Amino acid sequence: MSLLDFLTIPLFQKALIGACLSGAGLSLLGVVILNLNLTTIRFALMHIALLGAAIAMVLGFPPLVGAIVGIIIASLLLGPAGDFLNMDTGVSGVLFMTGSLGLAFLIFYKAGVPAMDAFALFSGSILALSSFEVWVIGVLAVLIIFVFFLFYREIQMVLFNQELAESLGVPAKGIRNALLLLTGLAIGVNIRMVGVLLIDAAVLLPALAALSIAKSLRGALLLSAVFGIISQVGGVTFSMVYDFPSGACITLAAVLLVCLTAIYGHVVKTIKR
Amino acid sequence: MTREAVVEIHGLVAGYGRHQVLQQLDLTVWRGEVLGIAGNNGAGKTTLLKLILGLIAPKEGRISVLGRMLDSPRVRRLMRCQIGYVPQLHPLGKMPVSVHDAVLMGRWGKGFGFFRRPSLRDRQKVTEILQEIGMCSQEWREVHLLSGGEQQKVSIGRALVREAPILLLDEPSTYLDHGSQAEIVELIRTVCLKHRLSLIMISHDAEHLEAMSDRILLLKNGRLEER
Repeated sequence: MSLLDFLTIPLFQKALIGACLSGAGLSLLGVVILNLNLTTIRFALMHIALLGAAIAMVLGFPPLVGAIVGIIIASLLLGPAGDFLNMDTGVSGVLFMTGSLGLAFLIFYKAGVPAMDAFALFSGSILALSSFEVWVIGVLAVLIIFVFFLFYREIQMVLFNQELAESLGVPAKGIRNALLLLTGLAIGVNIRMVGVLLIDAAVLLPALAALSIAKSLRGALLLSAVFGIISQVGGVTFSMVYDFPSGACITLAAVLLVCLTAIYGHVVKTIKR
Repeated sequence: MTREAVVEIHGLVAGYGRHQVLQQLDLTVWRGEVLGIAGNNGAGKTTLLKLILGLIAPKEGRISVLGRMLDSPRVRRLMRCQIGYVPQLHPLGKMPVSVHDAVLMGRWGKGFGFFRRPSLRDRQKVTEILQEIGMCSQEWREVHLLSGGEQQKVSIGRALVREAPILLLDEPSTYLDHGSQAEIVELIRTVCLKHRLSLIMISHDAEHLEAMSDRILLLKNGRLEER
């Protein structure tokens, strides 16, 4: 089958639209994660997703619903918990991660929940997206772009130096908590697209590539969105045409982009010298 | 001629949890005065600045800035617009922010804010300040690529662009090399005279303060003493 033939199939159409929306909107949050040193947060949220799935299965709900509800609650609590415990948000994330994993295993053991059903969350597929899920990704992507557009200056200040932003009168903690919530939602949505284990490719790697060559936050956000779209759409297209797993292709496309931007950055630095 | 107090503190008690850092502290800062506060590391100098800035609330006592009592979070946030703050020099992350944008941040709450983007006046003010601190040629360079002295100038520029009558400086020249220290001292002296600012400057090294201050106080055992 050629690429054009694939594009006539609704399954692939939804996958490509989902990839495009996720790349454009959700990748922006990678810039937040990298600048606020929240790289442990995504692990924390992934494990909380597992706990949420376990609780949902005990209560008779679908595991994905539990996972997303768990992520939303945790992303609302992460910032305030770090402030209360006088810990960096990244460090408090470790507490959430280990605690939720311990609790999840207790539930698996005592409630007799089949752990493998919950772990199935760890391997999502963009090809399994329903129309409703594409809409959810679209709404979230638009919301993220809107928030970044409207509060660009405030977000820039918080990412530059949270304490400084606070001293200028910016409600830095509120903005950080709102960004954490959006990050949680982005991770929850991406679970469905690439699976938990490959989430870095969707959220983090485009931002990593963008930050290595961008000259401003605006540039980093734009490049992050462009790289997000290239890696996700490119990965999905490659997986369709050559019959490879989509999650792995998206990840490898993003890794390739990081390598290419690193080489580009190195070459530019050498020429400037 | 009567002197006007810009900052008045009475019976201030503050600390973190059970640990009391400042105990029954009194202080008056007059308009146009350059006050140096020296003290060992951990004496509570930065805490005192954060209290004046309204970033933390006292356990006891009263703080007033320009005649307004800082007795609620709303007033504390409001009065922050009347204060320029130069925090300690910290290693910056890799977030790409230009010198222009870093100085422009100082206009938040003064010229622009939520739902009000920076105006032409805000940008003109940034250009003026960049000329004043000698950073015009570096306007579009990324801040994290600058030297420590240049980063400190940007920090002072951000405080000045607020057009606030009070300036708080936390160890403004401490972690800089000798050349940069002299440059920063000269810059602070010049801007202070030009803008008729009231300055509170803290340092663990009293010698750093001597070159710039009208009066130096020593923060010891949670109280201020004449030096």
